Amino acid sequence: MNKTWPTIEFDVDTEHEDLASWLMVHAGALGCEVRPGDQASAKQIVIVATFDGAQLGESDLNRIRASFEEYGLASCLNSLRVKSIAEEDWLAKWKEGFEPFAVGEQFMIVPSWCKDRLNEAKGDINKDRHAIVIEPGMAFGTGLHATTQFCLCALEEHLQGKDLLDVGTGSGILAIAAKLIRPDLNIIAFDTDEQAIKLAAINCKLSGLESDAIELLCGTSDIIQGNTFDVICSNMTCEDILALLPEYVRLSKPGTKIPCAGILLEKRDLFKQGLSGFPFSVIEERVNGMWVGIVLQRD
Amino acid sequence: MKKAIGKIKLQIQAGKANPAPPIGPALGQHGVNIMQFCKEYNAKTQDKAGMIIPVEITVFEDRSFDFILKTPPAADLLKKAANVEKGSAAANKTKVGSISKAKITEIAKIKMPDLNATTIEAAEAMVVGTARSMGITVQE
Repeated sequence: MNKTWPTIEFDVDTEHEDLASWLMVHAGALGCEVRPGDQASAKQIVIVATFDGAQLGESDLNRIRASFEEYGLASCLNSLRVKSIAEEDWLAKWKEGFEPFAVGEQFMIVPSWCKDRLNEAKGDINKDRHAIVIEPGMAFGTGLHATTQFCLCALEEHLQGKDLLDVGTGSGILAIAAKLIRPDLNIIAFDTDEQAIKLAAINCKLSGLESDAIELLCGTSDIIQGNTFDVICSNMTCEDILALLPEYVRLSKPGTKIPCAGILLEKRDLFKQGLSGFPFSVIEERVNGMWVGIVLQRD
Repeated sequence: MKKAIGKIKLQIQAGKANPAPPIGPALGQHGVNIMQFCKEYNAKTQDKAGMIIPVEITVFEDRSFDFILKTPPAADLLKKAANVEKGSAAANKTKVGSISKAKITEIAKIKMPDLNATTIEAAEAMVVGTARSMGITVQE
């Protein structure tokens, strides 16, 4: 059965949008969508708060009702509606326009529904490139993003040694790319999101890799024990990477290369300051729009 | 210039955007690349972890998008400034903390662009109102 998310909808005066949304999030909502109110009352908006879990219990609702009263929003209670959203493929519309495309010198990203074209002599899939076939599901790493493309290009240039770690693997795209150009590499890829690991396994298979070609693990960096790596892929936000630097010291050795993407240009200085005191040097830096990709090397 | 076909406003937690609701369905109906939005929102808000950072997303006819971040809710800013965990469950009876007038002015200045207030005094009055309903007293 598909997952469902319970929602609470209510009408509220525009000036109370902040407070009402804040109350919802503090009541456990994952977030709120703010929709325009009906035409007759331009001063009112509709807030739709979504919750995790199968359903909202009566005690949850009583707690929410009480907080509305306490914070002077009792008038919203008359319009309170409890509904639910069933899971569906929200990416479907976006997928309609997703076609195979080339990245770097060696890769072709192919959405799963275009896989058949790999066996046909169609001009849009370059046979000289490694085809990374992905199912663009609910995990990061479709290959379209500047940060993923930086990492793919960095892999073409910096793959070395025999052991690679892909931190926060998402769709598995980077680990798969590395395995396709260097089948002899030992690759471990992990992510804290169980769904991402399941999708990465599917993408490995779609890309023609054996089920044990990449060791896929669900968890944090703690699950990697006793290994050091020659390359560590790190396509995450600036803050996530900085928080992991002590772990990268543990997991690297002199000469290890660490392609880091997901750093906003405005946070480049913050990132470099954060490197202070760690045995890593910047050996490459590329700016693409609002993003900067940096390759670190262990001293 | 690209034609905008829709505006979506979300109140979500900094650094925690993911394709589950409310983001998935809200953006999905417009054919927006949900994962790209999540990645960019998280990168821009990661350093504000623990706060709600509202975002207004404009979707264009070619399904590309642009977004602007709004100011955090006054309640979040008050909670931080007064160093309290949460608002009072009975604001009229129980006070959970206090805040200086100067801090109120500071918060009003932050909130000013998003408030329906034409003067700083009017913005301050709104912030004071929120503080009172949270059980936070304002020191004159």
